[in-house]
Amino acid sequence: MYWPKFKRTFFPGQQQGEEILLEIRQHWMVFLIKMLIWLMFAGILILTDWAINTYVPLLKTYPYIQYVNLAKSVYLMFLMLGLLIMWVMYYLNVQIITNERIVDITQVSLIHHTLSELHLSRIEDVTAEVQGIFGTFLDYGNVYIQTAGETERFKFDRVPNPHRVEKMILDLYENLPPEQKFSKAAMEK
Amino acid sequence: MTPNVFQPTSLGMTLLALVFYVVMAGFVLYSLIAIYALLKFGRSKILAIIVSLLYLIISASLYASAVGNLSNIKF
Repeated sequence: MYWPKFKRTFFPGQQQGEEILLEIRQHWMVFLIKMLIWLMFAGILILTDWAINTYVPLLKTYPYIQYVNLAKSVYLMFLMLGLLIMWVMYYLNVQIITNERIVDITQVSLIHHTLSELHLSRIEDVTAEVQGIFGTFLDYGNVYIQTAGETERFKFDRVPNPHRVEKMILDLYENLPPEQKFSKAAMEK
Repeated sequence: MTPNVFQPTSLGMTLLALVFYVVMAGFVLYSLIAIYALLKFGRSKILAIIVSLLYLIISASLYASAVGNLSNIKF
């Protein structure tokens, strides 16, 4: 049985004796792609300098240069704020698998935080999905967990080693005592 | 010795300063929300504190630079 990463930390609502087996968040490549977009915005500053030097040298003279400097300072501040928000959103979106349940902590926005839980016994089906060039070569993708209830399925968004995560969840389900396992037939009766 | 405090001397300067400080208020608000979310929901408090302090230092430097640039503008 493969256990990708063991960690003994805490999360809100953790039960006594509940052991965290895996804590995952999006693959670093997902963050890197966002960073590249951020770098493009940072490159606008350099491009602006180049454009002013080439096309509008008047803006380099007093008093216009003062306005340009002020605009650049403010732009840089918001650029740093964007980087902080981007990292916070990446860091706070996390999925936790314990020996009892699966916890999906989602930070939808800075002021929208959701925490969903799924007991292992409610699992019906687990699917791993890898797609795209980066996903295939760097081995990251989505993991879908179909629950027994009517709620929509859980989704682990672009996590590393999706097949191993899928296998781990299935192994945990298989290791449950028989009386705890959810039976669809029993539900239909 | 008088401190180097920004003093608007015309209507244009007053309006510019007003816009600047409104934008800064938005910046501070968003920064505080982001830091609050990080400190409240982040699993590692030490990492959250280090990142927050680093961000505050960088932001304070950039803010000082922006205020300096605003002070240099003369109508």
